Amino acid sequence: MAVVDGVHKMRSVDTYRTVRAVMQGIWLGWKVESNWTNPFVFLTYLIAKPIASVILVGLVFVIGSSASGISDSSREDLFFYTFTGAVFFIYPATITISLAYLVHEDRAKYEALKHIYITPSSLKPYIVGRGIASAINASVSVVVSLLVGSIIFSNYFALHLPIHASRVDYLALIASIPLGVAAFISLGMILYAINLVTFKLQYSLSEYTTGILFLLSGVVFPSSMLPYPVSLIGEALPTTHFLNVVRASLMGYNAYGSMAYLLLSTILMIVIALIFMKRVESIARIKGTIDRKAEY
Amino acid sequence: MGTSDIMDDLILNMKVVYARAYVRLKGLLREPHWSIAEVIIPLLSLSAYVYMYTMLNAPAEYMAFVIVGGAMLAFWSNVLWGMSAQLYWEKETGMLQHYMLSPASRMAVLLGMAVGGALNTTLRSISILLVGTLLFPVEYNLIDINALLIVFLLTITALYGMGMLFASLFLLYGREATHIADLLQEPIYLFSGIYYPVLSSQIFSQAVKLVASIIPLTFGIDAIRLLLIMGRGIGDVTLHILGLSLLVAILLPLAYIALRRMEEISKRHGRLTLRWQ
Repeated sequence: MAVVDGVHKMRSVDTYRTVRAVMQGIWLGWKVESNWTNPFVFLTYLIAKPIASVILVGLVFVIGSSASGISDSSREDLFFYTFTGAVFFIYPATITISLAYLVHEDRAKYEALKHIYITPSSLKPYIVGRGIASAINASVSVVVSLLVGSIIFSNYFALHLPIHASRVDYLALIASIPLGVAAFISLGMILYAINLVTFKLQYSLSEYTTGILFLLSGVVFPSSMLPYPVSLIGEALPTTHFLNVVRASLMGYNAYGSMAYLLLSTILMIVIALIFMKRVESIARIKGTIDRKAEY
Repeated sequence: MGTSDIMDDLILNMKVVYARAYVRLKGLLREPHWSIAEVIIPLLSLSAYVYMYTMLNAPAEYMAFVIVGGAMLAFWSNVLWGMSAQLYWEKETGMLQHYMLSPASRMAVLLGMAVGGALNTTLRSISILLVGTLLFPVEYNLIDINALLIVFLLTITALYGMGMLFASLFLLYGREATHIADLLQEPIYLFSGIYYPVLSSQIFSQAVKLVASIIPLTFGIDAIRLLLIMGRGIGDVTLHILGLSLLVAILLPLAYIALRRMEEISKRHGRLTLRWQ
C-alpha cells in the first residue's frame, strides 16, 4: 500500500512539474515575444503583419476575379474560401516559425538552452509552453484580421463573407482550435528537434515548412487543383483538415467528418513528434549540440 | 588633403567595397543550401498565387505578373535581411567594432554589402524567373531590352539605397531589429504589388498609388511587367524611370547623412558594442 501511495505521489509531483514547466514556457514565451518594445509597438507588430497578409490575399482575389469576370454568387463563395484560409493559416505559420527559431534563440543568442535542459522538467513541456504562447498571440492576430479584413472588403470591394452568426457551429469551431494548435505545436517540435542537431537551418527550415503548408494545405485554393500525387500530400496534412473544419463550422455545414481527420492527423503528428524528439535528444547529447554556442 | 591622399583614400575604399562584396559572393558557395532555399521558398508562395489566379480564371498574364513579382521579391528580402538588419547582426557577432576601428569609410562597407548582395540576388532572382517560367505556362513579350536594363539597374540602385538608409537606422536597434525587419515584409508586399499590378490597376486610389511609389519596388515591378510581359517600350515607362531616378537621388544622400548621424548617436549612447538588449 505504501509503495502504491509512493508511486501515486511521484506521479502527481511529475504532473505538477510538467504543468508548471508548460506554464513557465507560456510566461517566458510571452515575455520574450513582447518585451522587446513598448506595448503599443508590440500590438502594432502583432496586428499589422497578419492583417497585411490577409489583405494581400484579398487583393489578389479582387484583382484576379475582376480580370476574369466570374459571377457574383461563386465570387462570394470563393472569397470566403481564400479569406478564411489566409486568416486561419496565421495559426500554423506563427506557431511553426516561433518553434523553429527557438533553438537558435535559446542556444546561440541567449545561451539559455543548457540551463533549461538540466532542470528536472523535460524540455518538451517547455516547448509546448512556448508553442501555446505563440498560439495565444496568433489568436489575437486571427480575431483582428478577421474583423478588419471583413470590414475592408465588405465596405470597399462589396465582398461580404457569407457567415451568419446563427448558423455557425460554435462547438466544432471551438474544438478545432486546440486540436489544430496541438498539431502545429507537434510540427514545431519536429522542427525544433531538427534544429537541435543541425546549425544555421532555422530560417530556411521554418520558411520551407510554412511555404509548403501554404501551397499544399488548400489555404488560398483547393489542394485538389495540385497535380497528382502532390495533392495527396495536401490531403494528409493536419493544416488542410484544420482549415476544412474551420470553414465548415463557420458556414454551419457538417464539420465532423473533417474533424475526425483532423483528430487523426493531430494524434499521428503528436506521436511522431514525441518519438522523433526522444531520438533526437539522445543524438544531441552524444554529439554535444545542446550547448554549442557559435552558429551565425 | 593632396591629390595622392585622395587617391589613397579612394583605393582603400574601393578595396573595402570589393572585400565586403566578396564575402557576399563567397557566401553563395559557403552556404549553398541557403542559396537553394532562397530560390525554392519564394517559388512555393508564388506557386500558390499562380494557382489562385488559375482558380479565378484570371488572364494568363497574371501568372507572369506573379512570377516577375516573385523574382523581384528576392531583392526586397535581401535589402531587408542582408542590408537593413546587417549592422545589427554585425553588432551581435562582435564585428561592428572592427568596422568602426578601421580607417575605411562606413559608406564603402555599406556599398560593398549592396554590390555583393545585388549580384548574389540577381542570380537568385533569375533562377526564380527561370524555374517559375518552366513550371507554369507563361509567355513574355519583350521588345525593348535596353529599357528593361535601365529600369532594372535604377530599381536595384534605389532599392539598395533604401537598404543603406535602413542599415543606418537599424544601427540604433537592439532586439527589435529583427522584428522591425519582419514587420517590413508583408506590408511592403501589399503596397508594392508583388502579386498584382498597383500603378496600372484601377482598383487602387491615387492616394494609395502615391504612398506605394515611395517604395522603389513598386515602380520597378510595374515597369518590368510592362516591358517584359505587356510588350511596351521606353515611352510607356518614362514616369517610372523618372520616379526611380528621383528615389535614387534622394535615398543615397539620405543614407550617407543617416549613417553619420546614427553612428554619432550610437557612440554617445554606447550602443555599438551592446549585445542581447
